[in-house]
Amino acid sequence: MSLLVDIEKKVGSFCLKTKFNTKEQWLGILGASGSGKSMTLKCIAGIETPDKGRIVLNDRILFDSEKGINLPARLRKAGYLFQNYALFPHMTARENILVSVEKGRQKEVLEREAARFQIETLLDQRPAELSGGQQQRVALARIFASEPEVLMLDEPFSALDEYMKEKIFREMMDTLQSFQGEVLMVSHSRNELYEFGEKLLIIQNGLTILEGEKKALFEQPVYVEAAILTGCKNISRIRKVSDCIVEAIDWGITLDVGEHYQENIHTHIGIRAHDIERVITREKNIRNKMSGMVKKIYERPFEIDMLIENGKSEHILWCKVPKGSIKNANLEEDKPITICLPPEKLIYLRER
Amino acid sequence: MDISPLLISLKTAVIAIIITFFTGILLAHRVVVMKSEKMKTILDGIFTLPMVLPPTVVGFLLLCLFGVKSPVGKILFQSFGIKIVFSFAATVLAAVVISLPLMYRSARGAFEQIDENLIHAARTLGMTERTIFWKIVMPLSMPGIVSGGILAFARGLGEFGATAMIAGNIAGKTRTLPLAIYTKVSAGDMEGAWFYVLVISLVSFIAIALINYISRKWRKFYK
Repeated sequence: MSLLVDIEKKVGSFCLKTKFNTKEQWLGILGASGSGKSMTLKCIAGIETPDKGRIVLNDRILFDSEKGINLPARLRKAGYLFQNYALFPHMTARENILVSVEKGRQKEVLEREAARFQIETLLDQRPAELSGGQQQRVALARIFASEPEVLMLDEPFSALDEYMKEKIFREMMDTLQSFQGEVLMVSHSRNELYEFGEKLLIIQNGLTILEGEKKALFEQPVYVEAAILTGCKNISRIRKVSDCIVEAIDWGITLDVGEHYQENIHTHIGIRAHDIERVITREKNIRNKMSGMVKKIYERPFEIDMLIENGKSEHILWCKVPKGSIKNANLEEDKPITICLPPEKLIYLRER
Repeated sequence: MDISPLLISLKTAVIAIIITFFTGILLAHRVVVMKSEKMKTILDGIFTLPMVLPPTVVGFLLLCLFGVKSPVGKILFQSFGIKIVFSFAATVLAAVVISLPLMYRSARGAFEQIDENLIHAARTLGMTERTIFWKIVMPLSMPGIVSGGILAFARGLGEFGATAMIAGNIAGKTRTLPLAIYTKVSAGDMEGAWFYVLVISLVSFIAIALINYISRKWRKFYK
């Protein structure tokens, strides 16, 4: 089981250039909207045609510009779950699922997929009568019924209500375990993709900027662009001051840096909002302390987001602290605050 | 009261709508799947033109095209002995040309409002283009196509200008309801005109009621 993709496609001034290779792994593709992640899936499915390159699925060549091969979508065995599920509105769930199944196998396939997705009771309903989560299950059952070799999920949870998302996400992940083949999921949500699979691909402006194990990518996103996409809100340019000390130009502070810092490679430094800690004791030996003002407080249900400025630069630091702990009590806007940026939590970055 | 105008009108409109209905769908589908935008624009202009031109102009052009002395008319007459102008066939021809744009545009609109992803999904599920057309495109376009068909029928029924130009006003042969009304008024027979006016209004009203009924019945599918 493998999928090899190496394609280029130009649309206006936008240029997509993707290259990856999966082997029985679930691959998550992270990118902002308009980055070309859906386009990549559409090229694999045969909905869009790349300008050049190769797509090979389990030794079947789906597309090869040099050999002049471009298999039509219907022969590719590439299941595609659309963002809006694309159920046929004039058919019942049953008719949707069986739309491409030959007559003799309909009963068997229907029973199998209805049980897999637990939609036995929904079969006589039309898509408009189903909830978002139910529509998604019917759409997946329809794809499974067509017996694809690769399954592609295009922002599968963006059309769902926030409070339903997590439950449906878990259920879907469980059900998909029974799928024998490659699974790709495209999303702009790092949370979904982090749970989705081990392998992650980060796309920006049509280019694959990073590929690898998700854990490593989130810990060390390597590039500034990748750091932003993985949710790092605080990024600053740096200048070396002395061994193990750099100046974060945009934040207007100097920082102790850890052993990962390499002077001739790294041009930026970053820290995730939740890695910034508030300091309330007068302890001397806390490294990378910074005092500043709380400029703005955004209260979330379970945590507090703060914007902190230190007066030395216009740049502000995003800081996220859990709600309810004593340490984070009495936070108020326009009041002074001391925080620290633990050296072990700093991320060292460079630009592409 | 002479009911021959009603019969001629109905006969014309029925034959015309059969031709218009299928031609309109075919043309619309061809244009929708066409890749070249330029060709699309040109063809769309040609197929829509009879709707915006004054019917007399359309009639005049048809006359020029099918007249016995014109190239097409000459061939038809000399090789097959068919004379279109001032015959019953001319009333049908006029009705078809005038009502075709309505059918074409309705069908095209219906095809284009289908969510592209449905077609893409159908392809990735392994359906052939033919199956997609009959199982997905046609059923989803039905409300638009049927209402377009009814509008085209009503338009063909009411055709006057082009018919007068190419088919004339021959009683019992090419005199349709609109022409009969015109003739009655010209002769000062207002009562006779009223009769035909009521008949054509009734038929047209039924057509509109039918459209509404059908679109209401189908609306529940769309959401």
